[in-house]
This record gives sequence, C-alpha cells and structure tokens, in this order.
Amino acid sequence: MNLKKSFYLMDRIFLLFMLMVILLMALFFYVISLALNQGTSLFLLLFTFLITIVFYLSYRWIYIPYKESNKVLRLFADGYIFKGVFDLRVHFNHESFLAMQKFKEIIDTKELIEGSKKHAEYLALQNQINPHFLYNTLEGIRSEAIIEGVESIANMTEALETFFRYTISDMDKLATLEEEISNVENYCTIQRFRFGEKINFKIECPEDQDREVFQAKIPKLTLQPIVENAVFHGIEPKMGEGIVTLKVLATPRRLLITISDNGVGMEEEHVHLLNDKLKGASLTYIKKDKKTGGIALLNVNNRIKLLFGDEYGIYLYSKAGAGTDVEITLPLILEEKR
Amino acid sequence: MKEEILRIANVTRILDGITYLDNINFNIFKGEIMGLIPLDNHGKSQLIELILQNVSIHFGRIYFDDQLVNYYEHSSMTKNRVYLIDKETNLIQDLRVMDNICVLNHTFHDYIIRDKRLQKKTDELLKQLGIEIDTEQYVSELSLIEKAIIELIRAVANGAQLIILNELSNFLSIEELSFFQKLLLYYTKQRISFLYMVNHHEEAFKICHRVALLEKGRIIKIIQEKDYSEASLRPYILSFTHHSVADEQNNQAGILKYQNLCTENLKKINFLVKKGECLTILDMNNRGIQDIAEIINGFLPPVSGKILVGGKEIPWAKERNLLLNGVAYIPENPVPKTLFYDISYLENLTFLIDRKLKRSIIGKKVLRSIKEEYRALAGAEIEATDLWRLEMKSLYNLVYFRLLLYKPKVVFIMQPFSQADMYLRGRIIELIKMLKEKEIAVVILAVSISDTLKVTDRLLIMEDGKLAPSSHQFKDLPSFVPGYQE
Repeated sequence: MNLKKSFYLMDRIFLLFMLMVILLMALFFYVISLALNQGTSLFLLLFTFLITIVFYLSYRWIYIPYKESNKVLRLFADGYIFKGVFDLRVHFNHESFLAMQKFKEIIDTKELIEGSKKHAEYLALQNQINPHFLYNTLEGIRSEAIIEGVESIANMTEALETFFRYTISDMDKLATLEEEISNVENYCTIQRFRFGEKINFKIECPEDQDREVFQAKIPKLTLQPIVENAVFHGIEPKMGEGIVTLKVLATPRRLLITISDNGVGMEEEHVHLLNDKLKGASLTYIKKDKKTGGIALLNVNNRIKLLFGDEYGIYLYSKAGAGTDVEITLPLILEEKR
Repeated sequence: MKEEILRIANVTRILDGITYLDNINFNIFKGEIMGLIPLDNHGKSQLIELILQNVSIHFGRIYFDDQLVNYYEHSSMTKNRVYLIDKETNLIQDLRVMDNICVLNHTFHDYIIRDKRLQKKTDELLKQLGIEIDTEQYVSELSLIEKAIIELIRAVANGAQLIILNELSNFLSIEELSFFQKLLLYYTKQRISFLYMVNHHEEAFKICHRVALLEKGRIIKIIQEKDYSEASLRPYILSFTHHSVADEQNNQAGILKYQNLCTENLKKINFLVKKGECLTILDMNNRGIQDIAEIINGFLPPVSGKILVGGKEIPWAKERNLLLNGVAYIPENPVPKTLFYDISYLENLTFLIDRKLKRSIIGKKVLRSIKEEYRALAGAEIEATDLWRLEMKSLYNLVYFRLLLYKPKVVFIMQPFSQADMYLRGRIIELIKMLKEKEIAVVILAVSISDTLKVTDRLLIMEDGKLAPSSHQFKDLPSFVPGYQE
C-alpha cells in the first residue's frame, strides 16, 4: 500500500495551530516589551504580516481541501462517482486514508463487475435455457436444413449458434472491436430473418483512421445490447427502413464508438433521466422492474465505469422523431491489460 | 488518428441555484472547426467562460490538449490557451496594429520595443495571409473586419490552440465573413481549432466540420458533416412560417422615399417603401447601412439628396424631426438601448405617446384604455412595476408594442435578429409581421440575410454604398445570395 507523501489535512490543521500558538506567544512578549520600553510599532507590523500569512494558509490548506473533500463525498453519496471517492486530493488524516484504502479493498469492484456481467448474460439470453443444450439443438436443426437443401434455415441457425456461443463464452475476457462488430453483424443477420430489409447495418470509420483500431480491446458484449436496443426501441416501432450505423473513431487515448439509429427517438425528459443515470455507476437498476427501460445501456455503462473508471462510459443523444445516438467512450487498449 | 484539443465530459455548472450547463459532453479535435448552435442561448456565455478559464464546476471533467485541467473536485482557475473573438474587440484601441500583435503577447520578452523589428514581423504575418493592413495604424481606426482579422492573427501569435468565434455574422457582412472563413480554413491546416458559435445553421453548415446543438444548457445533438441537411435539423429547430410575398404586394404609393441620398459611404441611394411593406437592405460590405442609421438618428447630415415621407420632404435637422414625421428606428440589440428598467411596463409602453398626442400630460382614461388594449397582447406583464424580472422575449415585445402604439409610418430596424436565439428570432418575426399588419412600412438594415427572408417582401442589395439596379423577390435569392439555402 502506498503511503501519501503530502501532509494530511489534520496534520496541516495541527501545524497551523502550532504556528498560531507561537504567534500568540510572540504577541504576549510584544505586549510585555511594549509595556517595558514604549518602543516602536515595527514588531506589530511584522506580527500583522505573519497573521495574514496564517490566514491565507488556513484558507488554501484547510478550507479549500475541506470543501473539495466534502464535495467528493457528496457526489459519491448522490451516485455521481464511484471510484473517485478513493482518490481524494487531500485526505482528512492518515487513518482516514488507510480506512479508505481498506474500504476500497472490501468493496472490490470485482463483485460489482460480476453482478453486472451476470446481468449482461441474462439480458442476452432472456431465459434460463441450458446453453449446451441450445447449441446442440441448433446444430441439429442446421444439419437437417442442409440435408433438406433449405439454405436459408441453415444460415439462420448458424448465425444464431455463433451468436450464442460468443455471448455466453468467457465473459471475463476483453474482446477485440473486430470480434464485437462481427457479433453485432451476426445479430443483425438473425434480426433480418424477422424484419427483412427493414433493418440495415452500416459501419463507418474515417478514411485516415488506422485499421489497427479494430484490434482494440473492449469489454465483451458492449455493442450488441446497444444495437439490440436500437432495433427494438428505435427501429421496430418506426414505419419504413431502419438504419443502424456504427461509427468508430480513435484518439491517442480514447476509443469513441457511436451507435446511431434513425428510429423513433425518445422524449426529451427520458433522455435527460437516462443521461443522469449514466453519469455514475450503480447496480440499483438490477433490482428494478425491467420495463423502466434503458437497462442494457446502464449495464454496459456500469461495466465500462467499473473496469476503466468514471471518466469512461456512455452518453445519449436523442429526440422524438429524430433517432438516437449512443456514444460509448472507452480507453484505447491495443494490448490486453487486466 | 485524430487528437483532441478540448474534451468536455459530463460537465454540470450551477450558479446561484440555476443549472446553466447540464451534463454536457462534446469534444473538439485539433484542426477542426466545431460549430455550436445555441437554440435558446441558455448556458452559452457560461460555456464560453468555462472554456476560457477553469472555473468551478459542479460535476464533470474538462481536458485541454489531453490534460485534465478542471474537474469536479478541484478547479484551478487557470486560463486555457483559448481566445475569444466577438463583436467587442479585445484589442487595445489606442495602440498600433503591430503593438497589439507582437507586444501584447505572452511570447514577447524584450525590454526595448524595436519598431522596425515589430513591423517586419507583423508585415510578414499579414503577407502570409495576403492581407493589406497598415501595421502602424491605430486599432481604433480599423473597420470591424480588420479588427477581427488582427484579433485572429494576434490569437495565433499568442499561442492560442482553440479560438472561440462568437456570432461573426452579427458584425461581418457576407463578403467579409466569406473572407474571414478562408482565413479560418488556412489556420485549421496549422492545427488551430475553432469553436464557431452561430445562430444560423446555414452559416455553420458552410464552414464547420461538425455542428453541436445546445438547448437548455444541454448538447442535444452533434451533426456530422456528411449528415448536413435541412431534414436532419428539422426535428430540432422551430419552423418559421414563410411569408407569401408576391400575393401580398400592394400597389399603394410609396410612404417613404430616399432620393439621390449621398454621404461619405452612400452613393446616390434611391429607394421607396410602401405602406405595410417590408424592405430589407442587405449591405454586402457593411459600409452603407451605418450611415443610413446615423441619418435617421440625426448624427450625420446627408451631403446631398432628399428624404420624402408621404410625399413631403423632411429637412434633416434632428432625430425629433424624423420621429414627428413618422419615421422610427429600432437599434441593434434594442432592449438595453431603448427600455428603462426602473419604470413600469406601462410607462415604457407609453413612452412616445406624448409626441403622438402632442400633449405632455396623458389622462388616466387614455392610459387605462391603452392598458386594456395591450393586456390582450402582453398579458399580466402589463402590470409589471419594473422590467428587471421580465424575460428577454417580453422585453422585445415591449420594444415593438411601443411602436405599434405610436404607429409611425416607417420603422427602420437595424439587424433585428442580432444576438437572438432561435425562439426569440421566431418571436421577432411575429412582431415585425404585426407592424406590417398595422400598415407600418418596415425597412430592415442587415449585413447577413439569415431570418430576414422570413418576413421581407423585397430585398435591395447594397455594395460599396451603392444599391444594385433592381430589387429582388426573395424567391430569386438562392441563385445570388451566398449562404442562403431554401
């Protein structure tokens, strides 16, 4: 455990307190000397100067950090931040710093990640079917379809099987963006059997963008739940052709993925409410009724924030009748780091 | 790989209990011109302040050049390498161009100012851009476009990496704006970024790589360049109803006539405006309309020519003359210039009525009658004892209602949509229509076309102080007015 090198807040208060005591003592001596000699006011000027410094330091060293720390604790209590609370600029004292570190260990984000991951699986499957039983059945259907020469059924079954295998296998791993996109394409293939040409999927990437960006690591099942949301809540209720566009843009530090649909969009207040929820990380949504909406977004957002920190996550732009843009911000990881 | 110069993530800014910026998210890349259209002006100035300086925020993070410079826990109050260009110049008026560029500069550390060296350096900078401005000229002698150019050069010379441009079309003419935009494109190649704040999407679509829409302190949409179209923007903006012009043209005799009017910047101006007609004079290079405004206000005597109102010649003497003869003037950004905040709504409304009735004491019965008549338009606000608590929309109502009550023959309006957000622009259009319905002739003096087309019947183009030979119905416009898209 690393010890903080700077003074703790309580140490600073103590130091300043001692300084004030010394000044008071000095004042005491000054009064004595004044009484004895009826001397000059030079000492008084010096004393005033020192008092000014003390007040200034009290403001900069105590008041401001105290206010800042309080603000961070308040934001944590309000659900705005999660990891940020463990990284106060100035801790109250050494013990509170140690206690915070311990608290961090006890809470350990792993549990939350686990909860979040399980929920993602649940969302993906939507039921409790044994996956291996499902794979075998799908494989069986595919074989029958090939034997009978019904290619469309064989293709659909293959897409479904690939999709389930990817969805359920090894949730701990980070996947490459390419794998994630491939899973989304698979998902769209399956949906196209249902919706026909109503659903179109496009990928956009700036021409000057390095292709290496598709090898960037991102949490598994980040894109598919959002595309699914776009299909079911955006495009399905809409008349006419629906387009889901995935835009990829990388900066030296961040990977920006925007999933846009030209669907029915959302009411302003709903967008505002969702964006407010997306600011922080919490698992309260799991307990709530699924019908409140936006669970997939909150789930993906939570996993991103728990894995990479509060500065990453999801932001939503939407307007009724104008479609929805979901902007996902991730760190750019070109080698797997856990 | 694109690099970000500014990233604003989940920023919320609350001042005195009012949320000015509400969870806003956007970024600007190096060498990019990012448009920002504030649909309602809420939070716009707070956003500018926040980008310029790392002031306290309630929540969120701000990164400048990939460094975290401001976040919810600690705001350092330091300034970012950002420069703001708007109508109010930051240049020192009483210093020369070269002093402003080279001396008032963070990179200038000399103890002795050597004029020759400064001039050489400034001349080189201007030469690179193909600009001819005398570097020994004082800033106070420069035109608005020249000041804007010098500010731009000064910003770059000062090491600014991001430049905020606030509503350029409010003070630059179409030609000037077009030239200035070329300079912006030149600087984007040097990886300087711009935040281009503008009220009109047509202008933003011409120059910006992306456009963000700001409403109620939230970024509600970011439009990519390839998606620029009226259709993509339609769900977000108010549709102002188009005026059917040709059908409503009346054939009445001219109520106001300018005959061969000349000043330093006006060259034999001839035009005529009819009762209930709205005429727009679009000044392509921002030289003539200021003179027209000054003549109306009595500050500038015409060198030659006549002004005829209702067939009668009005001698130029003082502003009062024109007002008594039925010519009124609404200045640009009229609220602070024409209203009195400490007196009541009704007193403001009846401010000119003594001149109309030609008596200094107005009877209670008259006032009561006016109050009841305008209650239908102004609602409960007519009872307001002062104007401090009224919204901007109500204050604009008051400016125009005052003229509706006075009922002049002609109203000149200088840049009516300047600094107005989308909702206010919609209201101003309605107010101008109300003037027209009362058979008041309206002359709009403008440097940018923008929303004037929604209300104008006829357009005159002024170039170098001369009016183009024929007037244009606005249906002809797209072919010749730059920046206009039907």
